[in-house]
Amino acid sequence: MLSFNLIATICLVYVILLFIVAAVAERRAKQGRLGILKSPIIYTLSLSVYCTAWTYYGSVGSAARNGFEFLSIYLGPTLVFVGWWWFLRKLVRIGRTQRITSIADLISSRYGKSNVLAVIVTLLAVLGSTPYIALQLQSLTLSFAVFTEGPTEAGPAITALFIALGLAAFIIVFGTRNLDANERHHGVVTAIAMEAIVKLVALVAVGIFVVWGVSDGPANTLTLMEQRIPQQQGLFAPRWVTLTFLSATAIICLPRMFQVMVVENTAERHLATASWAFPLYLFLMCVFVLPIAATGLHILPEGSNPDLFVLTIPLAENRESLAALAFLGGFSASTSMVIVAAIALSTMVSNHIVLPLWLYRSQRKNPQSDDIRTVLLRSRRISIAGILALGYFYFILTGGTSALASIGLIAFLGVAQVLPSLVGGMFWQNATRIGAISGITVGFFLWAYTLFLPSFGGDFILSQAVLDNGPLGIEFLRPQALFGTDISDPLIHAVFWSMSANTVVFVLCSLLSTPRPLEQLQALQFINVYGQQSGRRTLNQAATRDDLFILAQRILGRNHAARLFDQLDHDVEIDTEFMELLEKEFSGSVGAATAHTMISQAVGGKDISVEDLIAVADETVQVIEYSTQLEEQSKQLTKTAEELRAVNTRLTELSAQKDDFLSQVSHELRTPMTSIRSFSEILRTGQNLDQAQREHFSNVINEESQRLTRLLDEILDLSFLESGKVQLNMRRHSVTGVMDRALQATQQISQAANAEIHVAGPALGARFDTDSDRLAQVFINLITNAIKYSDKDVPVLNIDCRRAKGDIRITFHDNGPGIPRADRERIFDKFAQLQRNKAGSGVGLGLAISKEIVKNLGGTLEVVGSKTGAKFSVRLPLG
Amino acid sequence: MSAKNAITPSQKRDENRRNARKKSEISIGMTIAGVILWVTPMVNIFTTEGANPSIFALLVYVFGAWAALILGAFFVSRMLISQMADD
Repeated sequence: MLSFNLIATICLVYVILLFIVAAVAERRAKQGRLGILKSPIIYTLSLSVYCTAWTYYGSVGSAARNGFEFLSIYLGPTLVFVGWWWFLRKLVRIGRTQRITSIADLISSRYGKSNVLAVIVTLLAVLGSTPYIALQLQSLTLSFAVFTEGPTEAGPAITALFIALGLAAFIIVFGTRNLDANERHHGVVTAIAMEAIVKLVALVAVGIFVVWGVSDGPANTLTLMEQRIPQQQGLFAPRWVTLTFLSATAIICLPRMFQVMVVENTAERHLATASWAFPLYLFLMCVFVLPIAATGLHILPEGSNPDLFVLTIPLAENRESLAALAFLGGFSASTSMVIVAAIALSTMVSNHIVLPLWLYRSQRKNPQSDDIRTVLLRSRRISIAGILALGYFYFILTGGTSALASIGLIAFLGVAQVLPSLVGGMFWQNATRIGAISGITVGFFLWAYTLFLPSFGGDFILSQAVLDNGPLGIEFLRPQALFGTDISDPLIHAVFWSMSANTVVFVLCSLLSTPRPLEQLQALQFINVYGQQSGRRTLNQAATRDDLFILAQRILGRNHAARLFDQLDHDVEIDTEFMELLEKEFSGSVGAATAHTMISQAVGGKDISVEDLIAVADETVQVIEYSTQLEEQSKQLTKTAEELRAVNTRLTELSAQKDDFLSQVSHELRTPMTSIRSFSEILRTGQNLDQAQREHFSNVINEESQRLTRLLDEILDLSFLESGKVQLNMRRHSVTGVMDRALQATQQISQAANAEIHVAGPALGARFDTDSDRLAQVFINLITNAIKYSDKDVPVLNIDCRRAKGDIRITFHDNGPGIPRADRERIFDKFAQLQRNKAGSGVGLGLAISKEIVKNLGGTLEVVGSKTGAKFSVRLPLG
Repeated sequence: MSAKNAITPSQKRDENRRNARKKSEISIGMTIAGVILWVTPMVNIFTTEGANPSIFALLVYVFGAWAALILGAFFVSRMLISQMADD
């Protein structure tokens, strides 16, 4: 039988070995020879800090009591790790970019660097971890007790005290060596990795011994398991689902898991290896649990503690060396958990509680010393001692009677209260600080009321009477049957109420509250952590370079601060980018909230920079801009649609006019052609025609041919004018000269109609450059129209010639029926005119030709509004 | 014919992006598969056979699924690690 002293010596040697490993790793890291220290294997092994004494001893105990239930504690983490790409990678990326130091820091940082949230999460973590640390002390004490013969050489309280002191010494030496999280605890992590190997090898060794050394092979072991392991109908039950959910949550939210997984992560790629290697590690830790439990139940006397089968089976079989190895495995499992948990918790306590209080109390600004570093280191060391003391007192208070597994589950649910705010913070932009504070507080209260306090069995705060009948006898509020719910398992009851209330309150309060600008900014940075950071501009800060250097010295140490400021040129102004870098460096030491407060104080109490506000405002502006653009586009589209509709109407009209024109042209061509053909036919075949008839028919043919030629000439003329290819014969002429030619040409028609034409005006003698033939053609057309369309017995036409602003304006005003207002726009269209002239004798292209001629001469021809008759105005340039 | 089948650089880029997305989606698929295998009534198939459920069958089911997920995670991680290098 191994003596207690021998076991104590083995432990001491093992601890010395741990010190040496940690010291060597620290030295190599300091020299920059990281090598294996940065390998994914070390990272994966450090994650095995999840497997504590609960796993090592407790799983076998759980398997002996409840069969397969223990497996759920390993399946949850496996599910989280195999899907690492979506959640864990984002978590690690956020941790690295925001220089996160703990889970409290992460929550605080996401919700606007809120100190209140950091304090709440820290208290929750400490309260949730205390039973867990007590659990480790308990399992260590129990395992020590196994080796004591007869009356204990040292009581459990003394044993636990020595263990706690030894652990505190180790953690203080290696856990508070440096302050910057990004320098990592290489020594501690390497020591934890070594412990991971020890506990795995020890458990597997005991397992192999049990299967092949005690039970004579797998077949017999299986038979033994069928006989001894409790079996349940339907493994899928509320408790199975609850435990799987809790373990999946714990792997993310437990402070020690967050420490090794996020804070100590040196490369995201390590997660890829851990995604299969860590589940493999858990797999191997589980493989022999059931055989050990079944064999223990079979060979050990009734009433033996199943939590200690891993130790007691080798001892019962007189395998002392194997028992020593098994003991070391359990020792490793306990110590690694306590070491990492104490580091994580002490960081949270010192950064989020001690330091803000110290800053508030001291009110001193920029003293020329390293006092913040001193305060931090001292507070961390005291926190470590305090956390271990808490665990120790919990152990003493509970008397170490609770089963290992139940204590672990209480702790799991405690830290799980962070989950809604954590997941919401990473993926939901509208999650707010108020929502997070409310959710966590409600969940925390319900957890304490329904599970944590009742775990003391009526000895602490909640009496047995309250547990049985509810506070003040109100049964409706019984801690383990809240609101009359009939859930027999207290764990499921507590998980249901605390997690659902937490989530509902978190969502509702987030929706009902408005986030502060810094919260919005942090939300964007967390949710879009894979996106590119925008460039920052220079901003004048209230703090000088010297002020900031002194502050950096106080927090980061002289060397680190000097290195940081050396990057900055002396003559370059401190800009926002540098301030941001500085804040992140500070965050690595004192947490986001405190770092933000310090920087804000240094820059003159500004709570948020202009750039930050701009970044937040950008989103709003983008939405507004987008909306305005849409509105403008909509207006533009409406306008374009209207224009298109108008064009379409115009095109339809033009198309109709074109058809009319073609039809009219065909008709106009056919009429003379028919006459010509008919009369020529008569002439050709008519033998009995006299000379007079022949002459008459020949005249008709001649006239019709002329008319045909005129029509074709006009069409050609118009087409020629429209194309702009017309050759003008510009000479200097007077208005009177051109007008006389026109009057002579129309003399016959005016006399026939008995028309009166009056020509007057002061500018008749004015001379100007023009093509007299073409201008006379315009005048002739206007005079002819006035006479031809007149409905009076005596058509009267007044022609007036005046100068107007450097031009000559000649108006033709008749006493005819006039032109309706609706037709004025279209009167010059060749097709419209043609249509209008259907009843007339001419082809009706005159006005269209006239307008084109005047246009070619550099002037305008238009209809002028008149109460009597039609009034046309020809305006021509004088120069 | 060759011009018709030629892939433009943008099509190639889209194709690569689609493949990268598929790989990352397999990762979440692993978790979903695990949930279906372990945290649904699927697991009861091996624990409700008559009055005396077989421990051996349940062991094979739970540990077999576990081994398959580990193997799957190994291959997925190899695929995704190359994508991380690309990123």
